[in-house]
Amino acid sequence: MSLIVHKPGLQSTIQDAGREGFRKYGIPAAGPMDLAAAQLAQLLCNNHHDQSLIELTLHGAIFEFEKSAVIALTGGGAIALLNDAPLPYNKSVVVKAGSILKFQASLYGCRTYLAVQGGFAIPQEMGSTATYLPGKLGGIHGRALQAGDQLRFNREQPNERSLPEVEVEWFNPALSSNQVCIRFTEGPEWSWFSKEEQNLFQQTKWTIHPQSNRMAYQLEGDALNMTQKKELVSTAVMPGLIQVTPAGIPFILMSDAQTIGGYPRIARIDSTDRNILAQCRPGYLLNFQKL
Amino acid sequence: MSLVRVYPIHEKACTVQLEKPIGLDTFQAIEAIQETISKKYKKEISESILSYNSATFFLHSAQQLEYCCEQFQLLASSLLKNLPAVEEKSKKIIRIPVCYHNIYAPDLSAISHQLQQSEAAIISLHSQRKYLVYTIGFVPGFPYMGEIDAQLQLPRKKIPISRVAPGSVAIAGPQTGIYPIEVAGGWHIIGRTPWKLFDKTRERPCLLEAGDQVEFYQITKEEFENWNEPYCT
Repeated sequence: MSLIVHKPGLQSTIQDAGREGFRKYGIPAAGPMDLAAAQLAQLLCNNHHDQSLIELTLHGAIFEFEKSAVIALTGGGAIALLNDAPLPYNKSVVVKAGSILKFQASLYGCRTYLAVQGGFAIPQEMGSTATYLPGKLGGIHGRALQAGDQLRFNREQPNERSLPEVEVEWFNPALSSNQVCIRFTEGPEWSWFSKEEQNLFQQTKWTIHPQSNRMAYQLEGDALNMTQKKELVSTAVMPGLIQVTPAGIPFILMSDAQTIGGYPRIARIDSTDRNILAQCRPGYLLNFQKL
Repeated sequence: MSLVRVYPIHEKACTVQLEKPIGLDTFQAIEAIQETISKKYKKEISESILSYNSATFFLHSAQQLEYCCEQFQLLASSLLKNLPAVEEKSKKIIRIPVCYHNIYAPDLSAISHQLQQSEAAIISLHSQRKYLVYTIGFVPGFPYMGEIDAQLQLPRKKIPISRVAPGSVAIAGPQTGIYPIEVAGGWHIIGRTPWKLFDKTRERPCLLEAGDQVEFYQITKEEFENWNEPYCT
């Protein structure tokens, strides 16, 4: 075995580039919430973009390396300590056998990616190792990591040659502030909302509700009361769409969102800003700016 | 107003939606449109899904989005004027065994009071129709099927229960569905099938797809408990 999970932290899951091709069966792609950060972690380990890595939520995780490895941490949401010494993010690091990696509380950000050179050896389910918790698919038996899990590396020996010798300057506004601006385009049902409601949507400082997860972020603010009480026929939805429930509460769909939805979609957020959202934690303030 | 709306739902996905009342005719129209578009643009499209009055296409590249929206709008509008027939292979009927015994139908007696119908009448009304699978969603393999008899229609529960057993057959509004995995649910559970609707280890992981037709037939508690075949054969 190669990596031992002593504590999983708030929620740690195995992810890869995602599970494509099963939407018609109700199975979303899943995959990393902050795709850009996950891809950087793979680059820093000289990995293919579809290797298995770990997505950690906030802090609390403790891992032990049973074998030496080259690793990279990206994203944010925690302070990493390797054998009690601070470990930089966005840089390839050689970790010696027996090392302990801990994640402590930090001020900003929400999700850390831990990639290891060669990736973790996880069996694929339906073409992917990405964990989709609501469907109990991928990862380790379709669940989040738990204490006692042991993850093997695909690569027996780390290869320190050909590693990028850089510490990447990374920018994601949610890693240095708890108030961020998210850009959007009009959603398919934008016109179902009155001018006043459209303005309210853009002028409100929305708070991310504690009941937010990889499926969706719930927003707190003034309710958006649709003047037109039309029913939407259930239709396909994707990460980045903002649905508004009959109670006027907006939900931003994220990586594990279900494939079909029946609420009007006021707005759509594209990939760059979904990466910003991925690093926003509950309590963050969002305001929406139209592209 | 145009009968077809095409709009992006993602930087790499767009939906073709028919502005028509939902039902068999509309579904068959969107199914035919989906087949034609999928064939003609198979290089651009990676996957597609159907739901009631819409077909959504996932593209390989975000650069194709605008082009595809325009082309799909033109093609769908012209197809609507002269709809091609849907291929026969997708028209199969699947007969699903259901045990309506109270042990497996926790809501049957409550809705029998609510609907002023005997349990036997509910079972017979539910199992005498042929249903169309309008879409799969909610959780992996969950089929949204319709329409159930008007005498069986009632709103979903106010408070969902936290664990519905896999295989539970349920109704809500004009629809009937089957829970493939253990999950929270707000539909009224009137029976259970011994079949597995979702099995991630199979090449085709789900029993049903949008466009399939389904009939239910009643089996006894003894038959349910001794059922050996987890799939349709």
